[in-house]
Amino acid sequence: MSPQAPTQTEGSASQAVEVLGNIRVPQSAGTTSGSPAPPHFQSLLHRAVAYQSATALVGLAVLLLGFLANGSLHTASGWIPPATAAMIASLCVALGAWAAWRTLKPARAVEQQLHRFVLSPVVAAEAVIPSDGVTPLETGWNRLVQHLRSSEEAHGLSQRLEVAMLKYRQRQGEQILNALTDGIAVTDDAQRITCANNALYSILHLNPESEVLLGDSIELALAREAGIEPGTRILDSDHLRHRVVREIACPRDNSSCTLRVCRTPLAAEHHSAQGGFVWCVRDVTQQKLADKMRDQFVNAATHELRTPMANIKAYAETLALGEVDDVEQQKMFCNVINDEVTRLARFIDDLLHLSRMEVGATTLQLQVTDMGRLLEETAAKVRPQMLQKNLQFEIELPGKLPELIVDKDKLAVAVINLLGNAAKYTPDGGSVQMRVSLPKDTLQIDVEDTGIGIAAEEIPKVLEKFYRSSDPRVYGETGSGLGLSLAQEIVRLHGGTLSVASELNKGSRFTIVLPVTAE
Amino acid sequence: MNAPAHVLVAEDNPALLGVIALTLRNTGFEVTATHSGSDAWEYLRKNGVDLVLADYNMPGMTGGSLCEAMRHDPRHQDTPIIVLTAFSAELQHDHEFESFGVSAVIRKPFSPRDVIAQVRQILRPNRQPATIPAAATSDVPSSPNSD
Repeated sequence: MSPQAPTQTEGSASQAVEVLGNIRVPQSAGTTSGSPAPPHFQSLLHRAVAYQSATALVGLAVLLLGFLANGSLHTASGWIPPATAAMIASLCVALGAWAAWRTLKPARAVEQQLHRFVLSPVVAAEAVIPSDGVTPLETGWNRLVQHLRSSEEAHGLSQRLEVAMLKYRQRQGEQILNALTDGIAVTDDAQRITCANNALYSILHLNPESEVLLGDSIELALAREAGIEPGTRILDSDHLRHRVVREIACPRDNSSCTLRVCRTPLAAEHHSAQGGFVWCVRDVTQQKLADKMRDQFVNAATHELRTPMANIKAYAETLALGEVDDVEQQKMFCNVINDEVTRLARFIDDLLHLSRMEVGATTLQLQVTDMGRLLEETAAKVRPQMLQKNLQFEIELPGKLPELIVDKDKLAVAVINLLGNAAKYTPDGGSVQMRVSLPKDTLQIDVEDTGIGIAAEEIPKVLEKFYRSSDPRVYGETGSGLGLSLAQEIVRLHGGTLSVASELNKGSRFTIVLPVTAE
Repeated sequence: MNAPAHVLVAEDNPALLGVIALTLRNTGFEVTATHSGSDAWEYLRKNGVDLVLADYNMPGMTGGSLCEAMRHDPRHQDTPIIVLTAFSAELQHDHEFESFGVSAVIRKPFSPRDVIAQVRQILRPNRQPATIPAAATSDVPSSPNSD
């Protein structure tokens, strides 16, 4: 054994301290920091010093044992007997061993745990046990364990949160799908339903509680609903990569409904593959009906506009070309043009008023109105028309009529329309009566004539826009079919009702009932 | 000398009927004016004409029904028909009239000269005089109160 051993050992320990003290800890991947070693490296430094002390003791013992082997040990105070030297050496070895054991024990425990981690296939399954010592290594290890445990807890919480969010999103997605009024289904490549909302069950007349669509072919389900032969394709299979729309008629009890079916391909993860389809099934029966009514309205309005225009153009052009020489006939032509222009203007006004009322864009100019006076003035306006046809026109008003809060101009239009119709469709020499009464909390205006009357099957239609009786006697009179609709709308805006009773060839009675509000 | 071509006009709008009849007469046609489809058909059951000019939208027997009735009658199967209509081309396409075998469709408002031009164009190739003598210019009585 070399006498320089302790010096070498001490030198190694010093070098270790020097090396550890110069360690630079990387802050992140690919970069290094120039800051001093962090606290846990300082702990390791202290461990190294303790280890150095224990090693020094062992080195001293080895030195003594070397001298013992030579027979004696000479010190400054004299010779130490070999027995004493041996005892000191033993004591030094024991002390060194104890110091080493004491120093290395916590490191060993930590090493064992780390070894377990290395061998374990599932690191997360291994328990991390904190140490009960207070040495810097143990304190550092315990802090590491604590950090690890809090990280695990945070990770677990994060996972639970993620699962909860996923479930919430699924529930939210289901709620959104079920809130839609369109039937929605997702199908796989073979068009088997993998997801369907409640509206689809409803459209297909199925009960979601007792009947299951999942796994069914959507083509078959739709074919069943439409009464189409099973196996007949609802949508063609040639355009699978494009959005395809088709309307199918489905029979109902006494009518039929129209379903608009739209199939949209879903994008797959790989562009080459098909990712199934989203099917949207909408009941467009009401929309179709509205479209039809709109077309009828436009058709009727167009017809009513073109008819007077045709007269104006024909008469004006004939006059302009000088095909009429007679002055009286020229005057007659001018009168026709004038009448048609008036008719056209009135038709446009009626149409605009009616449209504005129907969409709620008309505001009533309500004011306290003397109803007796209003009805007298209205009657005066139609009296010339009655006289022209030699009609007997009678008005019956109660002694005192209440004042009502109404839009007097509009209400006058409604009454004039009724009286004007009565005059128009009552043959010469007939009679027209306007009777006003005050039944319970209401004011009732009856306009009754002895005119051509209305066929029973036409009575429900006479208040419809543009409706004109097919009776040739009605067609012989000018009219747009808007007057009664307008009157009804005006009365409705006042909270009242307009009703009709009639018998063909005997006469008609139109009745306005307005509410009388107590002041 | 050929007799003037005989045109039957069926139009429920009296003002328009008057001006069409006047223009046709001024041009030299023999005109029978009727105020409805049923009046026109009543006339056609007993008389022959060279051309029928009928409004499409008439109460009772419409212009369409009149055309259909004529095509079922051997005497009027080939009689040219011109339909007058106030419906726009977008809502009532011309091909809808094909089933009635009409020769032309004239949409309101129209120029009376356009009517004359159409009548002349249709009658020129196979101008046929009226097969059954009729009153020189007759207006068939209309339904009551139709004026």
